[in-house]
Amino acid sequence: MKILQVDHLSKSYGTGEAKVMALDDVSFSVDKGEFVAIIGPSGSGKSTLLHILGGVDKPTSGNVYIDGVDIYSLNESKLAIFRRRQIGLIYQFYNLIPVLNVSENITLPLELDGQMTPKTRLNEIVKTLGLSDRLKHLPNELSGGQQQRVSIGRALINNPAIVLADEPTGNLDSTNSKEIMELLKASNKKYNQTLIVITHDENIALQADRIISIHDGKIQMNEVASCERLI
Amino acid sequence: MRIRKNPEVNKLYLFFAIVLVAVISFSIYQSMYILNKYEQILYNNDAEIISSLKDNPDAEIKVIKVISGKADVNAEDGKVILSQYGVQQNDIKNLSNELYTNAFLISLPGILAFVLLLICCVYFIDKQYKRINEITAYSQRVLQKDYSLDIRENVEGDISNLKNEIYKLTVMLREQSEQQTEDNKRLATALSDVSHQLKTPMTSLFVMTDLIKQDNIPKEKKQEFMDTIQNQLERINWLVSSLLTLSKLDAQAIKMKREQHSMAELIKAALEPVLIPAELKEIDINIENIDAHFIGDFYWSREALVNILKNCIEHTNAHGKIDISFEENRLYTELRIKDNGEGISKEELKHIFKRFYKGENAGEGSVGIGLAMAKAIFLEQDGDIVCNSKENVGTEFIIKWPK
Amino acid sequence: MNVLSKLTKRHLKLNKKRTIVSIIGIALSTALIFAVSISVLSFRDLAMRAAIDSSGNFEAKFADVQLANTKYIEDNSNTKEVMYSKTLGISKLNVDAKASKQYIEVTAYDGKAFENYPCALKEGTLPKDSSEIVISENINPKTGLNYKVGDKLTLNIGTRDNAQDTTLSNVTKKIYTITGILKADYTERSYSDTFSAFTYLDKSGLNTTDTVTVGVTFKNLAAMKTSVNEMSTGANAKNIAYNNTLLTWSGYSSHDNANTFLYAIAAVVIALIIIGSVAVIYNAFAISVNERKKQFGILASVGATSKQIKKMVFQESAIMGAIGIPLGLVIGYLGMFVTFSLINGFYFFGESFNMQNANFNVIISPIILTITLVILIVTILISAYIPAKRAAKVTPLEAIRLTNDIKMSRKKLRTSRLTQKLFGIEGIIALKNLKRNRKRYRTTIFSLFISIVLFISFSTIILYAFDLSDQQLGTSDYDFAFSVGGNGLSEADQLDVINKAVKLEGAGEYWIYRSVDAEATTGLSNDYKAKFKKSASSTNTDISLNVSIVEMQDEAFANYAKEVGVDTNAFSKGGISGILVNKMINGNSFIKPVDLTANSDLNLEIISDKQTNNIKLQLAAVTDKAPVAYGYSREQVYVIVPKSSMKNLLAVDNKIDISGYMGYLKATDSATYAAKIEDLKKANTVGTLYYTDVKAMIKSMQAIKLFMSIFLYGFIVIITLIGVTNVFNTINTNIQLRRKEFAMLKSVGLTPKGFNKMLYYESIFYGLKALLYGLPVGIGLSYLMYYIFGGVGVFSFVLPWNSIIICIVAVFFIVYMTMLYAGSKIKKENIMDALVSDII
Repeated sequence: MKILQVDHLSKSYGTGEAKVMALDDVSFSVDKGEFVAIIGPSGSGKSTLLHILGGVDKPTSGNVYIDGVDIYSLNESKLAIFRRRQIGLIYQFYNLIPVLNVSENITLPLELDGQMTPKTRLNEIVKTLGLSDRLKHLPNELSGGQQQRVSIGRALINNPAIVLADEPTGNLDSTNSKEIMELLKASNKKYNQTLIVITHDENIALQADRIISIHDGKIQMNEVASCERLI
Repeated sequence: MRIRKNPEVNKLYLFFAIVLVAVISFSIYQSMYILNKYEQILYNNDAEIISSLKDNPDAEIKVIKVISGKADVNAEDGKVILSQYGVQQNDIKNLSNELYTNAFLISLPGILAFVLLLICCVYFIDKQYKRINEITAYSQRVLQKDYSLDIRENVEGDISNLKNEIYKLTVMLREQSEQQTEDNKRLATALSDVSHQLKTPMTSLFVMTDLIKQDNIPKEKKQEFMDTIQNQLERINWLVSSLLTLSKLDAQAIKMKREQHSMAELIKAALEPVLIPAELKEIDINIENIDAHFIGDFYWSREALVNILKNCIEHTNAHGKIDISFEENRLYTELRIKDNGEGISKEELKHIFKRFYKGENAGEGSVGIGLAMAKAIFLEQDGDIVCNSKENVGTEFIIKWPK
Repeated sequence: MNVLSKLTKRHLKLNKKRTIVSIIGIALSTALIFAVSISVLSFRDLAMRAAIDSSGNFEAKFADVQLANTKYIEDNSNTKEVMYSKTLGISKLNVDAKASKQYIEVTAYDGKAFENYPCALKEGTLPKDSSEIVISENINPKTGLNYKVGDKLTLNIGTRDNAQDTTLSNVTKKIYTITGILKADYTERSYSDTFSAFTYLDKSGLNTTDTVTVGVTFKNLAAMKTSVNEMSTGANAKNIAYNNTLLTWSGYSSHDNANTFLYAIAAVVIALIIIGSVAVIYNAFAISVNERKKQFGILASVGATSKQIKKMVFQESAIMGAIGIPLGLVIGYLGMFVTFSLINGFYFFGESFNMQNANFNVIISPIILTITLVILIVTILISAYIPAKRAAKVTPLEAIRLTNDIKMSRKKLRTSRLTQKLFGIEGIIALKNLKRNRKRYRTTIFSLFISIVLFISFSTIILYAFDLSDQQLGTSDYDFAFSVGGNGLSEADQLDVINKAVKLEGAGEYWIYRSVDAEATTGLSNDYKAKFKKSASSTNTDISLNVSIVEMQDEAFANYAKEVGVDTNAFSKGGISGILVNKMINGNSFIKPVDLTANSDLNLEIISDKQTNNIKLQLAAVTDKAPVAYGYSREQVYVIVPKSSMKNLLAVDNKIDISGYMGYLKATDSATYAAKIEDLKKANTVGTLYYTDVKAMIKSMQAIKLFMSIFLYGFIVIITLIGVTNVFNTINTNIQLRRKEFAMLKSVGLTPKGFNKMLYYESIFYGLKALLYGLPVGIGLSYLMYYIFGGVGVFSFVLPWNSIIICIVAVFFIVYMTMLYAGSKIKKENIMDALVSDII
């Protein structure tokens, strides 16, 4: 089933001569459980696309349906709550709350809902992420890779419909990058978690089930990743 | 405080507060009104008493002093005097009916408030139960396998959270149901495949036995037929045991152990049965000399690996090469088996791990479940196996065990 | 617990310094409002007690009320207490005909009256019935009659129609027993010719038609007017007097103006404080929110609603308020307590208020407490509202994008080449930063601005007010002034007393004057003519100048003439000649009203009961130097003449009115002299000796000045402190927020010295801006003060240089110190840490 449906999405800045089309009539869909990579050079509009998918930036025209809900028909409050429960966002620069420890940062979406976090779920995620011995640490006591893992945890804790990752390995060395991608792929497989990753790195894109490439705000290619590796 | 999370409860509290304030205000107003009337009556009484004393200035002063509260008098004495005249408390006239009505009216706001609040509570509870009923109705639809509804609402509150979680349950049920259907389909397909697969050797067996029964068959031919029978029996045996394994794996009846083992040992064990066929084809097997460990089930991993290796050897030409390398990190252990055989086409690559799939270049005895079984085994260990290949260049299998 | 509350609390804890400084700001504002209200209440309390002490504890008095009608007053429902008194009459004393007080006035008080009217005993007890009496302490020294407690006093009490009558009517003889001696300060009018004595008012001894005076205190002052009307109608009492001395302080004076004035002052002051407080508190919250912009963005991206985020900000303000407000209340109370203790310790108050218990008590009324709390809570809520909205508006996008978008056009950020040449690249960066963060700095500059304005205007007020009081006190080139008053006193009598006075122990140089009023119509200068035309009182078109001809005693005159440069021989014994002091006050400056030179004649007109005399007065000299004790007037000029000239002048017309003798004296030993002249006054039987102890007056004036200064400067200091907390917070936080920037600059090669220079320039630009706004406004206000005070005294407008300089220095000092402090921490920081880190 289609967990994400994007219809004729456009985003422009400025008017008249200075008008810039960040996204130009983009349409595609993603099935539940798919791992999609969106690739493109810098300035191609992929970050803008991700922000709109995450409900964080408003499109100029077009619709985005997540799990059947037209997210831009929701008012601000409802959108915030929708985002809380259905969308997990992972950024390049981790964006953790500096005064909360690892455990608190991960359970943040649930806490906002006023819910108690089921211990088992937290433990499971923490174990998978390899953070079991760092639960009480503050972000500034963690390395870059560890911080990114915390933000993955935060994105997954609520079992959202889609997880959006914006250059999740952009700030990490190659070992950490590999680890992060493995974690993402593992959760994609294990929890059937739909995963959309923005990247400019081909190697990462090739690990996905499907690659969408964007250039100058338009979709150039949208196809299943081939296993053609250089042997 | 669970209550604070629920905006509708807050609204209720607010309404309570408003009603309370309204009631208090009204009561105060009412009391003031009555007191005012009472004051009027008292004032009237005092005036009447004073006017009767017009000709008695001394008495007038005394009475004024009492009225202004400046005199030191004892009411009890006065009551005694009054009773001498037969005047009791309820004989004092002038309390008009209006006053009595008003006194009664004071209780009115209280009653009204109570009624209002009751209505409010009833309405509120009713509303909440309606929402709960919604959920019940929804659940019933889901029980009837109607998975199309979306009960989520994106608001704050415990009931909204509940709806959210129930929706997740629905999705899970739906997926399970879909999975179930698929499984059933697969099972049906598998059974038909099985019977089909079995049919072929069975037929062959029948023919062979029939042939052997005949008298005028030369000894060499009989031997040939016996060999064929043996072959087929082996084939059936292999088929049956593989199918059994597969179904056990499907039913998750096999408990995969999670123990640490040496990679080198695993490979050694897996290579054992294939060493000879490899040698025969003069295929060069290189093993990377690294100390690595994996966490998983040794026995079953070996079984799977044997299948893979068999496959590789089968599809690699003579004088070919098989490179085995591995990598271990904190998250997983990876094993790579690369050959420079004939490769697999892009089209076929999509299907090689499917059951009973025989490639174009499949060998005779191949049933097509070796790779499927291997995949199932690795998946059961929470790992995976993927395959990269290019025609006429080679094939690479990458196996992963998670830590 | 809610994760958002946790976040708020943790954030507060982590930024301890800023939190504490903000809380201090809130506390100071609370303390100030509280302290001001305490001061007002305490001062009012003291003033009321002083009023009660001096004029009595009553609010209204009805005179000539028939006894039968008094019940309408006594029994009115709004009456708290009533006190009865009746003036029985006066009795002639057996004293010297020249004595200024010839009679004893006997007034009867009932018990309540003795309690409430000013009546303090020096010795003995109060009378308990109508046969007992207490008499004024002045009687014995003045009359030599030597009455003691226990003596019998026989009086013939009668009434007279007016003060001039020498015969009494309805005289009755009464014999009293003296039970006590009164302190006569308030009960005797020094100008009246009666001593005071009190006996007990026995109402039973009166007829119903006899009249009494009824004094009343009210239960409910707000209804006083209504009650008074009721009483007046009922008791047919038309002769009503109000104790305004007391009523003014309760806010219920019969003059509405007094009430409005008091409330107006309090309102203005509190409004000022609230403006300052709002600036501080708003700034504190605005900073906190700004710091956490990124956090709010992250929270929004994770799905926090704007309501939740707004709640966070309000929670933070609630926590800071919950700590700051009680702290402020305590500080305010303690502060006033200490201040009052110090003031009470100086005691000088007693002298200026002439009271027993002249000390300040700290008065807190629950109403004031509640109002203060409400004002502050509302202030905090208002101050938190805008930052809360801003926090909620932060979009997740802003959190994702790390840079603070510089939403300014390139034009606005341009700096001139000149700046570059003068200050180098560090200056340019400093200036651009200032331009970029205009909004952020606005509140800080505003509070600096307020402090500057307040400081300059208050200093000016103090300057002018004190200068004025100095002026009004006269040139104080003398220590004591005295004169003799009384009916029928001759020149000789007066001189007799005055001569005694100038010879007392402790006396030094002295001058004795008396004067005659005259008019000049010729020889007037154009300046004077212009001034005369302008003044509104000139209804007739004849321009005239009031001239006061002042006689000095010979010895002093000789000295004066020498000072002016004139030989006493120039004054012929037979003529009328004198020295003209040709200087007069016009507006804020002086003019020379007379257009004549020495040796010319001044034509004067002196009007007496008999006729109008035209006198030619020869001007032996024209000077602008006034003699001792004489300043310059707005209304007249002085001509100083010797005794001989005055004698000649008086000879022209024996009905010419001449004033009594006025003596001025410099004391060699003020304390001794003061005691001696007091004794002389008490013992004097010839008329009444009046004297002024200038030094004592000056001392009490200084005391009041000191007192006012303490309050005014204290007020300024605290408002400045509040401003300082503001400045500290803003600058500190802004610098912290720019850590990354600084680190980058350092990594590109900015030396510590260069870094210092940059901060230094920024603080200069910053301070300059504040001064640019503050100084002109402050100076403008002080010009306004000058204008207001100018109508009352003579000043030239002088820029309050001292305060301006102090301001400038202080502003730069504060700003620079804060920047240094904030910068010092950054200097020590590792470059890489800063570049990579997030602000906590």
